[in-house]
Amino acid sequence: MIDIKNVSFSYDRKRSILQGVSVSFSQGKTYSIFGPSGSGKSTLLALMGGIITPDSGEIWINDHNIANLDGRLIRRTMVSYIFQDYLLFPFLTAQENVEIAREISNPHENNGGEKTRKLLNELGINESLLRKQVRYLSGGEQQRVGIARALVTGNPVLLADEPTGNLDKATANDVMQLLIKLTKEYNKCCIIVTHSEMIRSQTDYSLLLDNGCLKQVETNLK
Amino acid sequence: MIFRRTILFIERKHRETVILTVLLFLLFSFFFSGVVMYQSTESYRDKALAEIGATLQISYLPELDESTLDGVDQNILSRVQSIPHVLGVDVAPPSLSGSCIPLGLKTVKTHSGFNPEQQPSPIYTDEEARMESDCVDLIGCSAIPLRNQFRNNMSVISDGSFPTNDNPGVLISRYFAELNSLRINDVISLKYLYSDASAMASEVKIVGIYDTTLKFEILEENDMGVAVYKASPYNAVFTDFDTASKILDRDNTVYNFKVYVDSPKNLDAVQEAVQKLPMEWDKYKIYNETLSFYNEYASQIDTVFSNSLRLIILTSTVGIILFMVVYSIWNNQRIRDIGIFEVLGESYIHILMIYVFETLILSFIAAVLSVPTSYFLIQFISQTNSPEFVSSNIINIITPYDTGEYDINPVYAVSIDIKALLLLLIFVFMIVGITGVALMFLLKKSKLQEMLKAGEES
Repeated sequence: MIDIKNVSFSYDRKRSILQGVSVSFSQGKTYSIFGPSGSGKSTLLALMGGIITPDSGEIWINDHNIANLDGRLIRRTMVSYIFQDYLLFPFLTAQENVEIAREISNPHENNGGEKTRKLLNELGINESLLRKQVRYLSGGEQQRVGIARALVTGNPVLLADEPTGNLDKATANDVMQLLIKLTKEYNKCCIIVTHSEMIRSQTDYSLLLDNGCLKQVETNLK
Repeated sequence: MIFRRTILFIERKHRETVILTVLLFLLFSFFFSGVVMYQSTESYRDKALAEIGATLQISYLPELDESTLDGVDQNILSRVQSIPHVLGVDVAPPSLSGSCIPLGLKTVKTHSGFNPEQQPSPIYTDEEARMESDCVDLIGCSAIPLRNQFRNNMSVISDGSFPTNDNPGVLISRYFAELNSLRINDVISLKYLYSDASAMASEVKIVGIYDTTLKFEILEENDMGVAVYKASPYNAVFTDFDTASKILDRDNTVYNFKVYVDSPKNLDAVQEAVQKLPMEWDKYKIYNETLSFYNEYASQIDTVFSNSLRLIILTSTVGIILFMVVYSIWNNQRIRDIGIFEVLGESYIHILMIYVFETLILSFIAAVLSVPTSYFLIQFISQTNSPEFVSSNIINIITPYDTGEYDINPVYAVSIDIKALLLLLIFVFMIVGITGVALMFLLKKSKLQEMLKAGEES
């Protein structure tokens, strides 16, 4: 699914962030990446989505070296992001936010509106919340919309950067359970950057990134 | 899909939409008002110049007397006539005219406005005024067709022809002819009002009759009393130079002459050519009658002209700057939204189109609303700024009566033509272009991570 081969990255070629990281991610599995601040976790997600490019090494997604692809194409067809601060269009409704993502990824899909609605309902966004501008939704509700937006695209990879960072513990737990459940249901590869022990314990694998190097891989699979 | 998304953004961002539309609406309204005023003034100026005509007046110096002058040589007049762009030369004005009694005939008293019987004159005694009122105004002229009212088709020959030295006689108005049952080739007797009592009346043949659309409105300012009837365009009797000399008992020496030129643009060239002719230039002066007339009575035109130009420049500059400043209030939000589109994988061209369409739609709504608003804005500006100018015309300023000869429509008469609309359209596209270029610059220069951080700041 995703093969990261000996990837290094530095800002302005001076401050090294990642040094020779190699790791593979598989479809249908969930991963958490943890480590101290500045260890390169979010940078690794940005590299996988083509937002930034590595100084050296290669990233392969579904047998495509993403160095040869446009970043927008990668995000339109391969990876979807879930952000800590949701990054939704605040003036659009929950449904409209998800619809836009679906239209960009699958512009010719029939009956997409129904699919969007069903997905949002699955995530606990009921009919009345669907038509509310997201600025009036709670943090938990906004993150559910963010997850729906990532899932609706049909992209095989979900990249979540501290998805529960702005949520209280109970809501964070609910949201995480939903994310992991739907990741499995939709057979996605989900990679979550987190500081949360709770998330680490819920993902199939957890990876420690320290000082730009991958130090440890643990599994919760029995 | 992109257009639908643009509409969705416009609908949802109501506050931004309303503020930007209002701003654009004000910008376009002032701009369009300026353009319409500018164009109206331009056509008003052209019309005023056409009505004033293009003429040069050559007169002897005021301190001299005719008795000290030899007069202008006929050869000189022929040479003036042959200068390029010269339409004709009138060798009579301004001296060869005067009040004449049409013996056995009545003068036309038809008029509108004030009743001169109730307007005592400080200039004439009652007797003088009464005598003048029964006179016609004999106008000796060697270029009658070039006179203002004939040149501008306000008076048209309906019977006969113009009098000339080769076709001597008089040209009278249809009103005067009908009042006295006169026809072409009839002979009338005219006597100069101020000639000796013993002087004989002159018999002249009617060679032409003209119809006129000129009016005769007596104004409140009339200080001629009943003598004003003499000035009625219906009592004007045009005649050739030689006949006028004979009736008015003047010698036929040419002391002054007027040169009619085809366009005001050629006046300077003709003036230069005339001044090169071997005349006694120490005794004569030449002046641009059009320019002095225009400067004296129509200089407001240029004031309005330059003011509307200022309005266009000021509105465009201030308006565009203000629009960009207000537009940039939502810049962080906009950068963040563009960042979200990029994260979702939207193409560069689609992102650009959404925001360009957005400005285009708002601009078109504002532009459509600004057209009727400009109409009222122009009316408002004209009413508050120069009411006397709007309601006045040139001749009102100089005479106690109005013949309509110099009536010109007010500058602010709103005529929204295709050219003005086209300029507005260009301005709309200019605004859209500026925002489009600014957006392209933003898209090219900004990094996605920075764009998403702009969202955090907002």
